[in-house]
Amino acid sequence: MKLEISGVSFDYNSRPVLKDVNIEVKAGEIVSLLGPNGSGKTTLLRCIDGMLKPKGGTVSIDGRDVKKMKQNDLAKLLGYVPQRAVNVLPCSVFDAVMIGRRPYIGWGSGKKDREVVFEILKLMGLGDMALRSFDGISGGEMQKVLIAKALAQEPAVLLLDEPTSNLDLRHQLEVLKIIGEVVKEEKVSALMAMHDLNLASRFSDRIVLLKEGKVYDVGDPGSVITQESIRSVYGVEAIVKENDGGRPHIIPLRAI
Amino acid sequence: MNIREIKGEIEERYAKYTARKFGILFALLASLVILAIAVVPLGAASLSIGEVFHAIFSRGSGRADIIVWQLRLPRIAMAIICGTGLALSGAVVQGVLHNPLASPFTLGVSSAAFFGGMIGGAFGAGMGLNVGFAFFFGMLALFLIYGISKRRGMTPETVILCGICLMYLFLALTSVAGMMGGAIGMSQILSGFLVSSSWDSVLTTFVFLIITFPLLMWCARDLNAMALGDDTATSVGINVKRTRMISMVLATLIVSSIVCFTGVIGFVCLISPFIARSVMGNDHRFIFPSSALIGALLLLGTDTLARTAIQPIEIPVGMIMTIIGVPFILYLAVKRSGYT
Repeated sequence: MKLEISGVSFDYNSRPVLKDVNIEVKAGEIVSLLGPNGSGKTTLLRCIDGMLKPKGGTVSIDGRDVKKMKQNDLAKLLGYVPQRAVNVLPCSVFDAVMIGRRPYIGWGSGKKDREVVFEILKLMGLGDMALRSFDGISGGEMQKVLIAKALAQEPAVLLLDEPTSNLDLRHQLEVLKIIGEVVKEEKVSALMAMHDLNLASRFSDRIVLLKEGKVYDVGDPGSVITQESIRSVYGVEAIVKENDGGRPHIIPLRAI
Repeated sequence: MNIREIKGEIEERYAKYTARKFGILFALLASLVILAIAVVPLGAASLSIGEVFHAIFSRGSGRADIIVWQLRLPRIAMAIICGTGLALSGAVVQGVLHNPLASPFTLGVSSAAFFGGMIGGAFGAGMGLNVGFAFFFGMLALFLIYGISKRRGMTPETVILCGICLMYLFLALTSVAGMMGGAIGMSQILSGFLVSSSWDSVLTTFVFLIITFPLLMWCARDLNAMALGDDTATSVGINVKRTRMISMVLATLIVSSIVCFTGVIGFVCLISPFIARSVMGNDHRFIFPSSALIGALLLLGTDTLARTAIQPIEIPVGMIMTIIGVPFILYLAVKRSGYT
């Protein structure tokens, strides 16, 4: 199933934030949304998951218009991973992941739901802490739990809002590697907002570069992440090298 | 490595973990039943256990029968229902506001509802109208607090501070209104009482509780998801606004139906969810029933103390609850702050 965003625009109090955005994410593909603060990354994600209503354009999953879907049906197709979890009243890791089964079940959880959750906990390497309290685990583990929760929805589309922004080096790599594996195995279409250009370059199939609410460029990391585009979009002078996988790796020098 | 084995192990541990929670619920229920039976013989008029049993099972018209059926049993039932309802509403409010310090008492909802009930009483149009007025003022207070809590930079503590201000405002208004109306025993009313419990009041409060409880249990699972943030809850298909509204309305309804009969009994709605959380974790499907049972136990216990401690004087149960509740909360605050 693929995610199609066509002609989406959005205003905050008549100030345009997104202007005619067109993006397509195929099944089994990771697309990263890059762009400076305020370029509309998070707004776009929220327009896709229905949290915000786009002013114009359509978002469709497998040809079905998201706007016309019931919230619960959409939840079966689309998993959302927030930047960080609120955890004032923390539940256990198992229960947090089980929340992802909410679109499929009523009040209690069935055997199948528990099977799915156990499977995902194992996949994410969270088996040992299944019964630990959500606030008693590290930030990286918490992020994994949020991803696990989204995966428990068995979604066709995964939206991730800066999944690595609160993580240390090791967890950044680990989390992105898991996302990559899941996307390939389960044929999920993943769209993630990212700040770290080098991580995005390394782990994405394609990059969408946003500038002031418009798509500045789309394509494979090599073609989008260039000295010129970084200067124009971020206003930063940078050197672009190649990493071990032949992808661009940038070294920022100074703000212009 | 055997995948089946690992999965089996998590599954087994999870089953134990759930069984433990059900075990605690059962133990609470059993203790409540035992306590309820045990306190019947206690009271100003001394009755033997034999007399009590005789009165309960072969209802006659002797002295013991009247005491048991007209005084003891309705009061015990009222204590259980009020304890259940207040503790449940406390757990709901905490879950909705994501604030472990919140409760209808500390947010001023109870006292606002009581004020409303009193206004309704002034019109003298019966209990239905009283509860209606109480509900209106209770909702008013709750929405005010909710609006405040949504403002930028509000911490759980400042929200509670505002709630306590609201509580004092409505208590003051109630006092003034009571003085104007020449009401009796203000101090007793303001601190909660169960003295005049009748089967009528038991029935009214019970009806409200029995209607709201299943609906709240139905919201419990969604409240769990909402504890991870509104975004997360919405993304799994929950209508966050609707769930929040339903739970707040139901919690206020319970409180309103109770305060009209008992006045403001504080702390039980704060302490019970607190204990429930520390024992059960944060799954609302378990917190709601366990908090309710703990509340019933607490209120029944304190009310028994209230009517037996300095016989023949009745201490308002709200006062005893405060005397027990405050040190408890202080202890918890000190103990918890030590960890972080």
